[in-house]
Amino acid sequence: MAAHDSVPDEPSHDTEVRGDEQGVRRALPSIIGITVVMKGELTVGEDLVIEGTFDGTITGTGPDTVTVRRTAHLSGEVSAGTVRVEDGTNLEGTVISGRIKLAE
Amino acid sequence: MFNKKKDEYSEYEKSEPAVSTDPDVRRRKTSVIGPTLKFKGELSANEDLIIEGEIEGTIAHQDKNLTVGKEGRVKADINARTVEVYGKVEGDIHGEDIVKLAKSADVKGNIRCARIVMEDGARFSGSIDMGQKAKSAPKPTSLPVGDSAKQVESAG
Repeated sequence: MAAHDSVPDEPSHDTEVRGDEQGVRRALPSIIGITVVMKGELTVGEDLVIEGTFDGTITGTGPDTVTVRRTAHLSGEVSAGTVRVEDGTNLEGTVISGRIKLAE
Repeated sequence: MFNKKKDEYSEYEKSEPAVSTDPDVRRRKTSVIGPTLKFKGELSANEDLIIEGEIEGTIAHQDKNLTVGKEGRVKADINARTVEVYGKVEGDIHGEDIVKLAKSADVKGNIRCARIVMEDGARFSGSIDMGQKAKSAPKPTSLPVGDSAKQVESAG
């Protein structure tokens, strides 16, 4: 059957958990890509990677990590268990976290 | 066509050729809104997007593919080249090329597109406007006997 003739039963992506180095299964992280622009309020209970532009409030509801890539433009407030900010990131606002990592 | 997306998502962390000036930043073709993520506001993107979480507001996503996964819940008008829905959408959908509703889809809103595939079992409440041409005209296909998918192609 041609691929566009029907809709597969499941979205065509992998399972929603993956193993880390210790074999612990974790939820897939959310990825806000480079071209993404978001303005508003965001809550998340899994790892989050921001590569694009975000203006607003990010609240992590668990011990997960919010990673702000150097391509990101972030304005507002970030609250999460761990916040990892790469060198060169354009960040304006407040970071509230038990652990803040500045990465090169 | 849609099978290509599998690799993009399942191997989202695979090392791809890095940006020349920034070796840690990998070129990804797909953004992922995970199942625990809730966002209220404005979202725009120029890359493929998979939504497994909750989005409320506006989504401007023209010329790219957007997938609302089984766990995805969207309260927003959607504009994209291709829209594939497995979860819930409340809002109007504009698919520049094609809109696909899987059997698990639950859509309340109006759909405007050139082509639509609505699988048996999909829940839909609204109107469908197919008064636009597809960007790339599809090749005529015949569905195998017993296929539950219904495909409607615009006359123009």
